[in-house]
Amino acid sequence: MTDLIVKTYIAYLPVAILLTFVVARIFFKNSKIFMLDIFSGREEIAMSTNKLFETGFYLLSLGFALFRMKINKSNFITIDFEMVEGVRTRIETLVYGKQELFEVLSSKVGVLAVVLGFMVFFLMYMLFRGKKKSAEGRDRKEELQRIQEI
Amino acid sequence: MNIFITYSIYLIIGALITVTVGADLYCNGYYLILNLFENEVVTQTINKLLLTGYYLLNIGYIALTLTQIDEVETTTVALEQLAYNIGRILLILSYLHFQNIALLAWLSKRKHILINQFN
Repeated sequence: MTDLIVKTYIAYLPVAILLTFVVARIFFKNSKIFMLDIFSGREEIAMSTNKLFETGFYLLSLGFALFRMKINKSNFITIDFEMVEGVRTRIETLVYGKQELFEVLSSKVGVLAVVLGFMVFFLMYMLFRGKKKSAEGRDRKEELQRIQEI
Repeated sequence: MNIFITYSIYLIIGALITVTVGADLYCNGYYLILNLFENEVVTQTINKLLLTGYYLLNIGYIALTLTQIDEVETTTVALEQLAYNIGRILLILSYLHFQNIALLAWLSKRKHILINQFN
């Protein structure tokens, strides 16, 4: 029984790590252009900010994936009462078969995927907000220059 | 699983995380701090000090939480404990990391206000 729990962990870890890496690669490859826009073309600071956010994303999602890896075994324990030598004793058995393996694995991967999706949408919102803010700042600067010229 | 094997896996993974993330932050944080101070000598000094502080904080925390791994009779429990502890380190690191970025952004905003006031 516990062998299958270890198998669940061994299946879950590569899936979680691979999912994180794929999502991060896709997102941060495409966010470079937004970063360049936000920092108005200053390439060094835009790229380093992008890299810093990528590191943070890896830390956060891998940390979440590992932190939530443990399977709550009390969900799979069935309790029976039996008469052993005239005494009523409580017998706990762990029922963890192949069906439970797939159910647990899919629920864990599903939660991770949903959390990653929310994180990606939050980061997209931040990128759009930063873009708007930097455009406003640039407009204000241009206006100031025009006033000074007059 | 043997407790020494578990401890050594924990320490090796913790040290790897510390060094990789630290190197990454050291290389990429340079331009953010340079943007703030606009002086290369000051930036290098502050960057090195930050890296040292980060190493001390993280390695100290890893060493402190080493003894929280106990009861590793079976592989299952050892894996669970390892994943829980390493995940916690990663989460704390990510919190500190985003806090740091937010602080730098906040400071750079103040810098612009100051420059506008003094010019």
